[in-house]
Amino acid sequence: MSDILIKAENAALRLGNRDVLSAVNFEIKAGEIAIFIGPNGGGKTSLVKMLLGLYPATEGRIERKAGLKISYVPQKFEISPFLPLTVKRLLNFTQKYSDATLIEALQATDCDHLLSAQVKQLSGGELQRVLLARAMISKPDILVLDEALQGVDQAGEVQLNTLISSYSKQNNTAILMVSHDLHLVMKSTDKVYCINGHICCQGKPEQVQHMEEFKQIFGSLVDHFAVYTHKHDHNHQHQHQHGENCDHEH
Amino acid sequence: MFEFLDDFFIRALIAGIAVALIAGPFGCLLAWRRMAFMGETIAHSSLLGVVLGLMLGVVPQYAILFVAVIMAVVLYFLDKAKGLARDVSLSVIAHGALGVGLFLISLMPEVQVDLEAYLFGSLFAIDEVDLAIIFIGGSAIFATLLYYWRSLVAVTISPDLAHAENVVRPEAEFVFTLMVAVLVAITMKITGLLLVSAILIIPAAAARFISKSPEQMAVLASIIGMTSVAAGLYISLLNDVAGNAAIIVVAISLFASCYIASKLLFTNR
Repeated sequence: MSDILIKAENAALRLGNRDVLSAVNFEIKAGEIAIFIGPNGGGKTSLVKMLLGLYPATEGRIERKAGLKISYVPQKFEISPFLPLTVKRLLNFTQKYSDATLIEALQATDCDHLLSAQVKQLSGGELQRVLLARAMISKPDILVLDEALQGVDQAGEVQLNTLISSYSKQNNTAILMVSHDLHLVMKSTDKVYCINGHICCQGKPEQVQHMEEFKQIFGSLVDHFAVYTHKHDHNHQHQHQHGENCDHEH
Repeated sequence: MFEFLDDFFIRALIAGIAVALIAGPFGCLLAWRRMAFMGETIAHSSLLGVVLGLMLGVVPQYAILFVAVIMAVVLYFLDKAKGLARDVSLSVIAHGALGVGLFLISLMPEVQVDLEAYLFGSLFAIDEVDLAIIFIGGSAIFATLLYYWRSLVAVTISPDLAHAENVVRPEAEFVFTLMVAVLVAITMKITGLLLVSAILIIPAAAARFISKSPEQMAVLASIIGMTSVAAGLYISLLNDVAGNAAIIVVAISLFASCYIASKLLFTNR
């Protein structure tokens, strides 16, 4: 018995007349945490969509384990302004759950007070928290998070990352994350993939950061990382002035 | 036993209420997906249907239905190819079909087509054949809509999520397009080309102001549509004004009322 959930063999993707990805070999196993990182336009989101079957591979093959239960937080989630939709209905739209289950899931991401709010009135960060809670309810085999924490404040980002990795351990859920944030890559990740038209390099975080391909592509990001840490400290103090549970956007 | 159907007013009332009932949820789906003009686009093609019916000796209602379905299929594939923005492809199809229809009519000088009926419908000329088409076609698409409702709403909320999490019946979108074609074909006689979108979209737009969920909005749109038909026809009976115009005037008044009610009653929506 293999515990491989999704596998790509020599897969290529062409969208319109643009070669987006080539020669992708990839697999993810139960309970594994993998991160895709790479520059804009490098094909991270396209690779995710190809693995999920939203884009058919132009060449090669993608295999998903039979009956695989997937939860997905897409990079873009824009709801029609004309559609009346409560958070509760959003959480129920692919599968029905009891109110108790919904509230418990929302509590995990600190947004249970939003259960009966209208989705289009949520702030960017609130929407991401709701979508993350939604993705976790169904106890999937794999959780696919495409820039899932965009718009979440920095304290929240740390908290939700901890939540995601402990969720993965508790439920043996595989996590596939897309991130532009090097900061995330350094912790609790089993494997990092650098994507720029193909998989440039891969390995454990501590191995990857010393690889030449990685430094070439992400040199500027590595510099940014230092600045980012500093900014984070600064913001932390700022948060204290407002109290721990300050919810407003900065 | 159906003597009451002898009255043209009763036939108009039954046909109008039946169409408004079905148009409610369809109007919502079209509005949510920014396809409000799809009904009108397909309606433009019905002149082509009338002409083809005359040329081939087919009952116009069937010819209209046939051409509407063809146009809907073309729209579906244009949309899927993603080569054109949706509003552009709608415009190309609408005016292309209208142009070809007018062109064919002008080739047949001996043929008289009642353009007014085409533009504004002929609500008070609804006969038993029209009623039968409305009931059979209407029941069929209503039942089909209920069957696909969950899939259609899921795709409306997020196509990517719905597909990634495997909750969509793969044929749902294509079936939806066909259903809209049938709905427009059976609505044409009541509203005409110019008012198809009104009966589809105005009740849905009115319902939006006072709804909290997709299902609530669909039901309210049906109720608002049916109320507009009943009240509009009653007004036209009392004052001898055009029935379909009176229906739209009531609908637009309800739209305004719902807007004002939402501002007064629900401040936070």
